[in-house]
Amino acid sequence: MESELSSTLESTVESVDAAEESVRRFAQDAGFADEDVYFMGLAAREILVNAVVHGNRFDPNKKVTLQLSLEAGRFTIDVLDEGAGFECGAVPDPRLAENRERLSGRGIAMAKAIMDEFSVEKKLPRGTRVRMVKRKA
Amino acid sequence: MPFETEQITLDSGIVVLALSGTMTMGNLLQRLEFVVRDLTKENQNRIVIDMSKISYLDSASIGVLLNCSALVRNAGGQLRLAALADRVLATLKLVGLDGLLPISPSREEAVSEITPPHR
Repeated sequence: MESELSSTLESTVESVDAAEESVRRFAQDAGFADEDVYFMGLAAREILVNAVVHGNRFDPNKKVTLQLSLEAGRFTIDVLDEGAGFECGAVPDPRLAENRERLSGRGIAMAKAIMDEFSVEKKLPRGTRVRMVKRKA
Repeated sequence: MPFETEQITLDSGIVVLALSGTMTMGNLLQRLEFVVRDLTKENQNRIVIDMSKISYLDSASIGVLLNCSALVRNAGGQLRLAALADRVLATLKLVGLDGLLPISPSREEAVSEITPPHR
């Protein structure tokens, strides 16, 4: 089964709830196990919130794009923002003892731990695309 | 499901904050930190957070729980989380934070593990 879904979100935390739900539905329809559906929704939430808060900085003139696709058992979640971008390597890893009580980086670390693949691509002239992939067991 | 907090003070003086709903950014989450801050100001710094009715939490919520724990610790008190659902505990373990927050299997055990205040 192959399928795709694309949606555009306002740069608000509220818009993330509906987007997260659409990721869960998509994953469920694709036949992922309940446990995977739960955590893939969480991974999507973390990256969507990151796009709204740190990418677009709640700018009402900027949008977040969510693209979902399923191909050959690979569920790909793309989250694109229109912000200044960030270097994933610059985000502190909260799993390291020295960073455990720092506030930043936790959401990205969670998403990385949940998904099988995680990449960040800076877009020109602005914006960031985060791509996450989960393979069906 | 909206996030709600119920506050119960036991005869021992331990305060139980029974949470329910989903804990996510923007979902009245910050209120929990304000409640804990107010309690520590009133020297009520032996606190159990009962998570048995929390079905979901995100990284922002984990940040709030860590802040609450630090507030209580800095006030010389004790804070324990209790009765986490399997998936909620698994979420904390994703980023290795389960060891940073004292966790008990049930509310009763958390209450019994909090020591009396020094006189």
